[in-house]
Amino acid sequence: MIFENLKIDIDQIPSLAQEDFEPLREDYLYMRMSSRILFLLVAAGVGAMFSLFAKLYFGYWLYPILGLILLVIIYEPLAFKIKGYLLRDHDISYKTGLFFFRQTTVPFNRIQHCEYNQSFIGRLFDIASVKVFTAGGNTSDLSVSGLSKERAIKLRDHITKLSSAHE
Amino acid sequence: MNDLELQKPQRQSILGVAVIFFSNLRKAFNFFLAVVFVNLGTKFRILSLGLEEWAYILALFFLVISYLQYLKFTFYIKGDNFVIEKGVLSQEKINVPFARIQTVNTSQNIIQRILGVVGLKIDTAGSVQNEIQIPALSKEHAQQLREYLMERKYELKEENKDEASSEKTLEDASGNFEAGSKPILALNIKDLLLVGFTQNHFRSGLFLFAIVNGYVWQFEDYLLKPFESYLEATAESFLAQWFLLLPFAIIAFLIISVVASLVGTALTHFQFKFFLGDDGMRISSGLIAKNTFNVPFEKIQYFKWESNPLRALIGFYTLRIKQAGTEAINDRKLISIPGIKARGLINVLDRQYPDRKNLAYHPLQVDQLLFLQLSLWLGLLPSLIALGINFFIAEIIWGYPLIACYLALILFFSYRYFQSYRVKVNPDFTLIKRGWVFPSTVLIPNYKLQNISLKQSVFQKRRAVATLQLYTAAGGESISHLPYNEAYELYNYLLFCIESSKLKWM
Repeated sequence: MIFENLKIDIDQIPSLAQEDFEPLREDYLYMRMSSRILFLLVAAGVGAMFSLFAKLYFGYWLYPILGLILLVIIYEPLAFKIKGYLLRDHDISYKTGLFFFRQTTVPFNRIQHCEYNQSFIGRLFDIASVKVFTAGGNTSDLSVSGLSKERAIKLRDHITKLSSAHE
Repeated sequence: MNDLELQKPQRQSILGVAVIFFSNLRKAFNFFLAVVFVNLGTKFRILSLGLEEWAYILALFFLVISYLQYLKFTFYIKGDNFVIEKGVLSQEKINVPFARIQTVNTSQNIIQRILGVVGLKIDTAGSVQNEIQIPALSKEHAQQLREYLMERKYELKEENKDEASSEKTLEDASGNFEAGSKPILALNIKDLLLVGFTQNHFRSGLFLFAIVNGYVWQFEDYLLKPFESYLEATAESFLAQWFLLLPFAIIAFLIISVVASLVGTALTHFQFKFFLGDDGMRISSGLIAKNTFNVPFEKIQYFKWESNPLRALIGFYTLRIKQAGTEAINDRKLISIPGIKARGLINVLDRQYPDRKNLAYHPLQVDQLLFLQLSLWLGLLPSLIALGINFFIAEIIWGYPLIACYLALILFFSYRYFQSYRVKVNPDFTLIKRGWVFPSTVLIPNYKLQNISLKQSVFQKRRAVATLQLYTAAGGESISHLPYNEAYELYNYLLFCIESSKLKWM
């Protein structure tokens, strides 16, 4: 065990267990997949226009796009399994990334403010996100996406309440 | 303190017109530079007026604008807010709650110095607006206003947490540095030269190159066009001669870099003075633009000190004081103290963190993957590419030993870097030491951390190592290639430290 010479027993320190993380709503997966596939289909449409009017060989756009769609279908469900968030008494955590895993925790007593967001596509799938900001940065430090609107608002209110208790 | 009469809107010193005028002029100059440059010498006419006439008209126009800007610029106090109103066409009202004020600094550019006025900058850690400044105030007025603002800020704080730090009296908190107090570090001309000479010349050279390059590209068409035919004709012989020219180019680059370092150092660190007061630090320096920074102790997030081979020889360190701020203004937030000796460094650390050595540190060892990756990406891969080029294209006999030397050198440096990498943690502090050629040390009080990330790429996963990123309000530091289990334990431990801390971190 490391830290054995410290004044606190390492076993008493609460540990963030990977299995405690709550998965995101499954609709979030479908939202991501459909928005990406939609984008690729639009790109395919542009390619088709070129093929029709400019006599571009269709293989130049069809195969790469088919490949990318396949990639989305394989990659997204796998990546989705990794994603998750965890709310504890004193902090909130979010993990993501299949190839480049990243897990971030922000303690409530360091949160400056908290935001609730819903994109246009998010509205169709009832998916919203909550962004958490700490001091000294312009970008959000942690963003929990893939929550239902109701849940996201609840989470934001919860975090706002807990973080303002520390001011 | 109420002789400032801040209840009703106030204007700055009348000299503000000149300060605003010159700052407008500078902006206009940058904007019109290209036009003027291109049309210099040609017959430039718009509405039958030449270049000179237009310049006068524009100058007059700017004078009027500046005067209006001056008239419209007022500041006053309303309730618990400091308010600035400005803007001629579109009115802008900036509200700064006293509680949000982090520090109040003064600065003087060359115009302000000539006119004998100072600019006052109010810093709010980016929560309201990045930069709130009053361009021109008389020195006494600026000093009074600064003291007043800081006092109000602390008054508010005291009300909020009455018993917590009651021993801190108001006189303490107002941030006074008596004119006569002795600086803990003052750089004389000799020190300044030493600091300049031991600068990272390569970086100043590249920096200068980037600036010059930027300007050249801006006027590329006009600058290079006349020489185009000549350039094309000589391009080939040029290529043939590059081998001969290379040493000269390198020498020229070196000389220019050293000069750039010296000039840069003289400009920024002239008359550098570093004070250590009862409640904060103060740094003042600058040749053309004189800046004064006041850093209250509690605003300091963490320290970082660095050296390089030349500086190590004369025992100089550069101490960087990391203060809370947004990324955009972080450059100026990283207030640095060049040319501090080990003794002074320890003085500062003892003052700020007297208990840093009370508890034992637990050392953490980074994984060998660090060494392997460094030597692979910096050493092996470039060597293989160079080898391929040399084998198939260039075929220079002495290229092979050169590549071998390079590889050996990189392996050596990578290994030393890996060896120098030290991470130590105790219940109050995290210490990160790294670098053999450019050693740097970071000392972060654990409770100053704001959030923590653990990152792991697929490559790292296979070796069971991870990267830990520690973020404070003044930016982050990362520890790469820690064994996964230890990184995870440290992650949990540091979170525990933050969450159990009742200390105010900002």
